[in-house]
Amino acid sequence: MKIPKTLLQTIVIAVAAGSIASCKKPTDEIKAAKEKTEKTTPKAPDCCPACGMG
Amino acid sequence: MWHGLNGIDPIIMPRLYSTIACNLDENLLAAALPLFEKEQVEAIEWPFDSLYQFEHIPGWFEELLQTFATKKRLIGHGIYFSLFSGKWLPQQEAWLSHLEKLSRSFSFDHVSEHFGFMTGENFHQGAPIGIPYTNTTLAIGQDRLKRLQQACQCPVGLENLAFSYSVEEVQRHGDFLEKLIEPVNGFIILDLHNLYCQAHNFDIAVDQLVQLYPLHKVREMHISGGSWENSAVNPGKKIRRDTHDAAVPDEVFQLLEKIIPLCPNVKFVVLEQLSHALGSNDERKQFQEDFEKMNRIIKKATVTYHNTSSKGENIFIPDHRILTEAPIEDTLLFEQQASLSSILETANNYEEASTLLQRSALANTAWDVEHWQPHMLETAMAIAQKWKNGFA
Repeated sequence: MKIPKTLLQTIVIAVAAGSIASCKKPTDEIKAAKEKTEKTTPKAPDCCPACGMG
Repeated sequence: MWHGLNGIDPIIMPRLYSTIACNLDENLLAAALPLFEKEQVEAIEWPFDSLYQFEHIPGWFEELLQTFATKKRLIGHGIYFSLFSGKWLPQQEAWLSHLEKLSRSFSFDHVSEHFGFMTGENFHQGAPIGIPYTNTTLAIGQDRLKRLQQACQCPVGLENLAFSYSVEEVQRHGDFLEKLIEPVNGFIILDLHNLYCQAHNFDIAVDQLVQLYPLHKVREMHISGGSWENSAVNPGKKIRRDTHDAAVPDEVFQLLEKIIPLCPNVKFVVLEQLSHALGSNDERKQFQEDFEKMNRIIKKATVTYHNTSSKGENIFIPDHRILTEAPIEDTLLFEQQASLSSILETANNYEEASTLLQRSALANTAWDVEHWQPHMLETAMAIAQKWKNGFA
């Protein structure tokens, strides 16, 4: 399915900036901060123990 | 015996959508991006209750969800409702309110939950574990599904479990699922890797296992990878676990190819993988290859079985307004669940767990703990102890 190009670009930037786990906008400021500090953000619980055998 | 396609009348199926389980997660989105860019992702399954640690969802992620929702390509998948808890919990009430609110914002094409009850005292720390198939658990499950349907106002369904304590439980699972969803005209998610786990762990031919499920009720399928674990109590026995952390096995792809034509109402086929298994470029590439393989199978099935006669499509909405009264509860069941959770989470080994179970309120009851397979009790302990600290 087609996703608007601007939205895709935003996702690309957010992923590259490593700003997702903190839910912040992928601004230059965050990108700059990321370069200075090692990323330690936790992963979102994308799925689960869900199926009962995880 | 596997019937395959012989003797089956041609059927028209709803359009099948190649779907990924996706959430606000760096690794998942990084793995999915090339697929989004190639416009291959046709729908998203969103585990909507797993972002509880987030204060807010960024606008661009909401926009992504909305892009799919407006095309009726967004499906919700819950984790924490704990369908069979013997007691109606405040957290379940809050969970439903949250779902109701989300359902007004995002138009889910359907919403599903997992079979079982969650171990652990904390609502977000535990794993779903099976329950005995009794009139009591049936009534509780039906009651909760009605509430779920009222909250989201769209089709609701349940996923088959990968875990069972005994072969009898495996054989009755499909029938019990069908009874559960009947009052809400619900659907079933058939997780093919879960079937693969059950077939292997209980030495049942997967073709035989498939026939024990009401395939006409399947609206969604899952595929994923998993892992093998050695059993200490049954040396030589390897336990298959649905850990969502590896490539999809060829056997599961083959099963997908065989089973799609047998499920006339299937609409979404979802590839699932956990974030922690998508950290490297190689893992992401494997995920993309698995998706493309799944997509090829789906498209082939679509071409073959669409454009034939059209009869009897199920829209999976109840034909009358469902009224729910006070939540059904069973104190004894709740106490048994608490006792089982405690044993699974704290026992140091199989022998200790087995002894504690024999002395517990579960002994000589419908739980039938006396006939649980040792290697599956061992596995239940591993699952419960893995998830008791949540995702932290």
